[in-house]
Amino acid sequence: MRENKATDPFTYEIVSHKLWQITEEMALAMKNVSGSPIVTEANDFNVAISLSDGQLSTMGAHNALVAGVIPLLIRNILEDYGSGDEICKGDMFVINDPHKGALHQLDLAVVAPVHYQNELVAWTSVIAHEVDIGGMQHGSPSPKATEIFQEGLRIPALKLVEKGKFQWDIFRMILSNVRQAGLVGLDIKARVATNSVGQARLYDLLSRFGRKVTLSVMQGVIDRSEKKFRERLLELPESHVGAIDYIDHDGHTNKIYKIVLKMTKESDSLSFDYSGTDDQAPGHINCTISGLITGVMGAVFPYICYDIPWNQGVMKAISIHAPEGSLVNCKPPAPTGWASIAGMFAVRNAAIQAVCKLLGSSREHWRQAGGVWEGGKAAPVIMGINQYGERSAYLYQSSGGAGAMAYKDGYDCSFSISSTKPSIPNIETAETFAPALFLFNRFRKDSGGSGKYRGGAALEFAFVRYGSTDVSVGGSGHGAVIPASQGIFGGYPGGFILRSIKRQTNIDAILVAGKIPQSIEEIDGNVEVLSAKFPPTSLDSDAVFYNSYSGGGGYGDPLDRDPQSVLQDVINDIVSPEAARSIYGVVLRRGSVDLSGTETLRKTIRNDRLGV
Amino acid sequence: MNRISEYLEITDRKTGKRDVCCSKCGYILGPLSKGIYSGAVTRNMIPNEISPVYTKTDQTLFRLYYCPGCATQLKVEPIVKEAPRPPQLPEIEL
Repeated sequence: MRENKATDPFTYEIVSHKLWQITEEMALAMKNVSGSPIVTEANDFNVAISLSDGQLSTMGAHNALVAGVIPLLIRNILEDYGSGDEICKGDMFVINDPHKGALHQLDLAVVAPVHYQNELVAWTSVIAHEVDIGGMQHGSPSPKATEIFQEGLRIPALKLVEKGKFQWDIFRMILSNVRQAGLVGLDIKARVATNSVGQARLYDLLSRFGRKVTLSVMQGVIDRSEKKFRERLLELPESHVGAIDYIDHDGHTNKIYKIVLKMTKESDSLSFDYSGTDDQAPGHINCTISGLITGVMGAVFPYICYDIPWNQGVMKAISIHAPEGSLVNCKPPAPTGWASIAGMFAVRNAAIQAVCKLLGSSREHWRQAGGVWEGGKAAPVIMGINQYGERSAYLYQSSGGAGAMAYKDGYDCSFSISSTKPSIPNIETAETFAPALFLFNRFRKDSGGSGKYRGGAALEFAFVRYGSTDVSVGGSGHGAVIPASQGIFGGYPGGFILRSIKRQTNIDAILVAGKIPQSIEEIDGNVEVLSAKFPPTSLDSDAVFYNSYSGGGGYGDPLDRDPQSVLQDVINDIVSPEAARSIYGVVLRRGSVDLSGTETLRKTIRNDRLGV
Repeated sequence: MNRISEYLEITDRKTGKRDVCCSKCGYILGPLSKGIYSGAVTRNMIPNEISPVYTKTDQTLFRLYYCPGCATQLKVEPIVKEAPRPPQLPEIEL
C-alpha cells in the first residue's frame, strides 16, 4: 500500500471523478447499442477501467458480481499473449471461458488494452450476460448437462479486434455457434462500441493530464480503497465466524449441497476458507475460482465497503481459499452453466452471513448487519417459437427481496444487493420479446423473512402462452426446499422459491369473462410443482406457469416487531393475518391492533417456546 | 460488556470468566468457550408448519434457538436432515 503523492488533491478529485464518468459513458454506450433486454432492462452487465497489470481501478455502477472477475480475465490475457508483447494498440479481446476468468459462458467479455505513447497503460472492459451462447439447450445452461462442453461455446482470449480492424472471421465463428445470432451479434458490437468509448475517453484523459498523473490517480483510487478498508477492518472484532449455505438440486437429482465457510478477521485482513464445502456436482451448479472470488466480493463490497469505492484495493486485503475440485472451485469438465446464480450465489450468501455476524458483533458497525438479500434467483427461460414465428429464448429476470437490516426492513422487490442500479424488465417488454401473456406480477405475501425487521418481499408472477402454440418453460434456481435467504439473530429466512404449472385450467373462461386473476389460487386446475431445476416443459393452451423468487432474510425476533408495522404490512398485503398472529403474535381487530390481546398472545408464544 | 449479536453479550460479572449473557434479560447462557448458543433452548420445526411460504419438504428442518430466560428467539437455523452442520464450524469465536 502506497501513499499517492504524485498529484495535488484537486487534480486527484478531478481525474478520479473523470474515471467514474468514463465508466458511466461506457455503460450508456452499452445500453444504447445492445438490443438485449438483459442489458437494456435488467442491467445485467458492467464496465471497468483497469491498470496495465489488470488491477481493477474503477468499476461501473452496475452488476458488481460480473465485474469482480475482470482482474482474472486480464491476467489470463496477459499470460496467453506473452505478458503484453503481442498486445497491440487497437486490439480487443473476446473471452468467456470460466477457466480463464469468466463467471460462466453466458457472460461474454470484451476487454481492450489502452495504449499511450506506444505503451500499454490500462484496460477497459465490458461484460454482459448473453441470451444464448450455444450448447445443448436454447438459452445455453441446461440442467441435463454433465460437462462444460455441453453448455456452449467456450472462448479463450481471442482478438475480436486486431490493430483496429474488426475480425469478421471470429465474429462469424461465434454467431455460427449461437441461437438468436442477431441479438448476440448486436450485443458483441455493443461491447466493441463500449470499449471504443472507454479507450477514446481514457486517451483524452491521458492527453490532458499526462500519463504520470492519470496512472497515479488510477493507482491512487486503489490505494485509498485498500487503506480505508483496512482501517475499517481494524475497527471490527478479531474473530472466527462460520456460515453454511445450501444449493438444492444439481439438475439431475434433488441432492442438497452444502457450502461451508470459515471466515477469519485478523488485524486488517479478512480470510475466507471454503474448506468443508461439498465436492463438485455432476450438474451445472458449480463455479470456478472466478465465481469464488467475485462471490466473496459480492458480500464484502456492499456490506463493509458501502462508502468505499469497490476496486482492487479492497481485494488486496482479502484472501480466499477453496479446495480444488469442490463445488466452489471446480475442475473441468464440471459444468458451470448456472454458476452465476448457484455456486457463486451460494459463495456470496455464505459470505453475507459471516460478514453480517462479524458486523453484528461490533459496537461500532452493528447497524450494517442484515439478513441475506435475494439469496436465490428463480428466473424462468421462456423458449420455443415466439409470436413472430422465430425460435427464441427469453430469460425473465424478476426479483426477490432484500435482507432486513439492524434498523430497517428489507426493500421489497430489491433485486440483487450487488447491483448498484437494480432493475427488472418491464412486463410489457417481456411480452414483446416472449410469447407470453402475464396475468399478474405482485409481491408474494409472507415471502419476506419475518423478524423484528422484516425481509423484503419477493415478486410472484404468472403467465400463459400467447401468440404461439410451441412454448416451453425451463428454469434453474435454488432454495425450493431449503431457504436461500437466511435470516439473522432470530429472523426467519425468506420464503422458498416456488415454480409450478397449473394444467387443465379455466383461464380462458376467466379472461373471456373480462376478469384478470390476481393470484394463482383464483385459477382452477391441476398443480404440478416443479423442482428447483427443471428442463424445458411445454405449456398447453390452458396451462398457467407460476413463479416466485425468494424473499429477503429477516432480522431479530419477530415478537420484537412493532405491532403497528405488522398491521401496516397486513394492510399492504405483504403479511397475511395468519402470519401476523402465529409468527408475530399480533392480534388484529377491526383494522387495528389489539394491544392487550397482542401482549397476551406474545406471552403465550414465549411460554410455548420454552415448553412452559 | 462486549457485543456478540442483537441479543447476546459477553460478561464476566458472575463467574469471572467470559460468559454469554442475554442482553434483554441478563440470563447467563454459559461459557463463551462452549459456543454462543450452547446454553440455548432449541426446538426443531417443520418449515411448512411455520408458514406455507416454506413449501412442504421432508429434506429440511428449522432449528430454533431461544434464550432460556426470556424466550427471545436468538437464531433460526435451516438444517438438512441428512447433512448436519459440521461440529467444528464455529458460529462466532471472539
